[in-house]
Amino acid sequence: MGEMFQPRIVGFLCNWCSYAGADLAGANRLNVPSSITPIKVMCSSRLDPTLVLTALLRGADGVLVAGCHPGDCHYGEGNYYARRRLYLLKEVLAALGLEEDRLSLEWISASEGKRFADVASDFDRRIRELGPNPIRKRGQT
Amino acid sequence: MARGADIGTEMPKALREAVQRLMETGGFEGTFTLARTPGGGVDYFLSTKEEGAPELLPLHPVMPNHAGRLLREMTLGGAMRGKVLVITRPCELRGFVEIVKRLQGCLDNLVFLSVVCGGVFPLSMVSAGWDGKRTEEYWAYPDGRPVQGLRPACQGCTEFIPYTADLVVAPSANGHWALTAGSEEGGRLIERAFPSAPAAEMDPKALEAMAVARKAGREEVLSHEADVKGLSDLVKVFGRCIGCHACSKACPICYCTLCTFESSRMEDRMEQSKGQLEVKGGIRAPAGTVLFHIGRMGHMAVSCVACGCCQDVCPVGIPVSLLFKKVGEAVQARFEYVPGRDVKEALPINTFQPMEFKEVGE
Repeated sequence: MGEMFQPRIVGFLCNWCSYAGADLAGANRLNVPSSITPIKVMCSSRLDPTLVLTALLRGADGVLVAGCHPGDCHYGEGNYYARRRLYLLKEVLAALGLEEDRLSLEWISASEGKRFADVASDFDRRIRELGPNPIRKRGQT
Repeated sequence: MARGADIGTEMPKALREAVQRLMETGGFEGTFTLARTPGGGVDYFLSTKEEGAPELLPLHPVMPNHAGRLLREMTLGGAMRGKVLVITRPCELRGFVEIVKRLQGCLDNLVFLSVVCGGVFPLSMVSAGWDGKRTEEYWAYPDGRPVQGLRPACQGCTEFIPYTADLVVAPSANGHWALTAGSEEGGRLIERAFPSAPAAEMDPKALEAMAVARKAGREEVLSHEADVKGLSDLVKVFGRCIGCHACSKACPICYCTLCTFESSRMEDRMEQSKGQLEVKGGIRAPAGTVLFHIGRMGHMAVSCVACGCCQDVCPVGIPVSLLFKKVGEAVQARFEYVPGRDVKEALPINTFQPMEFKEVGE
């Protein structure tokens, strides 16, 4: 490939923790890869698996879902349901031979600006290793 | 478990007579079963013993509709009034149990009669005209000999023994059939309906022979087009989807009247498509057919009972039921979940353990 691969990653971030964590990373001037497009959701469990799939099938190279640590959910137990749903979705992808590694779930609290920067950089690196989403440049879907 | 009653060898006549006796002695208000339509076809009917009732064809080897889906519609507003004998196949019963878990139906007042199932034929075969001889040949299936022309989902079905039926029609020794009890209620019904019939039990040898044949059938049906490995296979198989959503309409689990895949959110507007064109170089219309199928798997694969109704109604011959069976089995195995096994068992997506699946989050 002539030009360097610039991944596009959709980050679904929980309003109460991970989004604030991302904010803190910015306020502290930490390096966060520009490949991540953050989308604020009120809870990680607000994510219908369809939204994650939509992003992947429309060409996103990766989807990062970030929510509160277990036990810290603003709504009590939303992140536990989110974890089950995304686990299920990963199984669906794996059963169809699709790259489940393009989907990641992480717990990041509002005070963990550093952790957000680390998680984002790490995911960005992993997606760069995976390469572009094979759905790109395929008119059939 | 209570004793079973020998109902003889002449299927399906013996079954019809058994149902008649159960109706006479069981105190039922009605029965929900396949019956002959005035036009000569077969459909589900809720009927009484009164004059005007259609000719009952219990467990006729077709599935014009998934009974679980029909029962949901009939019990969504509350329990059926009066005791009803429901005669369905195991996957229909399991599908209904799954929908009851979603609070979309009610099991009260329903007594289930099911069968050690030999599968059903595709609807296309039925609409082409039914050959009565086929019915006789069909009921020889406990030999383990595969019946030709069954639905692909049935050919590879390994869940052919019902879990929660009150009464189970099962192969017995020497080519006989037995009506066996699956619950205390079932035992009482048998005692009342067949006080003097010779005792009979399920024949484990027949079940074994069927299990062997089905396992082989499962390997076979899942090895062709349903053997999807990666995006290009997936695009190939779902690429011919016309987006009619008939599969979800026929599905016993898909109950949402406002399906997310039919909402305006899924309409591809031109201004959104521009970005898509840049990324992909071209968009197939209708767009989102792959999303529809994988998305639907994300919603219901955990409860998929692999009945095969979706594939039966697909106008373009996509092996929908096999793909859903394959994915459903994988997902269900991870949650150690068998859909429809027990109504008290929580749906995997409606429950959680605080410390689990560390590999996903953390």
